[in-house]
Amino acid sequence: MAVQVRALTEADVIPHSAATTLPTSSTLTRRAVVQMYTPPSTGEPSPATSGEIQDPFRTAARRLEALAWLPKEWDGSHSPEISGKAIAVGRGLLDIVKRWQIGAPNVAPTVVGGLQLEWRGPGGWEFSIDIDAAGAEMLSFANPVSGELWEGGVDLVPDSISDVFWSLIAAAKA
Amino acid sequence: MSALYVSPFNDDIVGVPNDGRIYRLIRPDWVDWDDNTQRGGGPHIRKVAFQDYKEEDAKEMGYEGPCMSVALGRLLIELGDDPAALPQLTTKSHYGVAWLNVAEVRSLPQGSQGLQARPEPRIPWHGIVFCLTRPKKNDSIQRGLAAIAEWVVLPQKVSG
Repeated sequence: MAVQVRALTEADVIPHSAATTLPTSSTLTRRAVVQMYTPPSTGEPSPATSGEIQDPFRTAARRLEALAWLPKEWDGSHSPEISGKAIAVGRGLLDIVKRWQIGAPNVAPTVVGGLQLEWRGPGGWEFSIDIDAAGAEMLSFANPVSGELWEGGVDLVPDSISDVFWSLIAAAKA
Repeated sequence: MSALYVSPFNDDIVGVPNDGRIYRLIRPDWVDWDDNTQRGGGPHIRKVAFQDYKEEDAKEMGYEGPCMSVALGRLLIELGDDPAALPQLTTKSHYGVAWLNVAEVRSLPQGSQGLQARPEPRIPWHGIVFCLTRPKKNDSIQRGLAAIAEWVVLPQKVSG
């Protein structure tokens, strides 16, 4: 796959969560708060309330930390707990993708004891990073307009994930 | 892979007939609340909602291979339970419920699925969905299942 790495423009990506927050001193401060956050004992996200100030990355980080507290059988059947390794890898990835300025992903638990970070964009394209219970990652991209599907593993090298992401997004826009 | 793959499961077309429905609990964070394109209306269900248990876990549970838990409409009817009450029955009151047509699941273009009733004391309506053409659901199959699901009950929307 040809890899294209370039600077982001506003027209490139409009994540579903409207999360084009650029790093600022205030977000860095909030990040420090996130690291001190104590998740709820249920491991479940809180119900929506009006009037909240929402930093999408802070929200994603908080949800990720809360998933560490999910009890087994959280899917109503046989799901295992989310592994500490997956949480740790997810935490590191969130820090990395925040620097890409591509918006915050949706963070969700998987029934294999891992996590999924997912971005969805205009036209329905989807890019996801699945982290299994052992901390291994799998990337996936789908573009329903072009029919393009791509799945693959990468070594835990942030730049390679970034390269794949930008290459696929560029292809989706072509 | 499909030409060589032999599923360890038997598809039970009598116990899970094609004219039935299956139900899947949906977590709030398995939903894209900003994309109202789900079949039948409502927010998009993400593919993550349709993953199989991994092989080691599935075998530890007594299953022959990777599979996904569902509630079977036939068993719910026999038990007198309302599918819309599944979140309460499973003490996941903020979860939602989606339904899928059994015939569509079996003939999923991305990869045929099989189904079995596997009731358990704690979850007597329990069934499983498994791949017939490969060991476990890949992204395309998960996406395909998400595309044919329709809402029974929306989860409680979350933020923050």
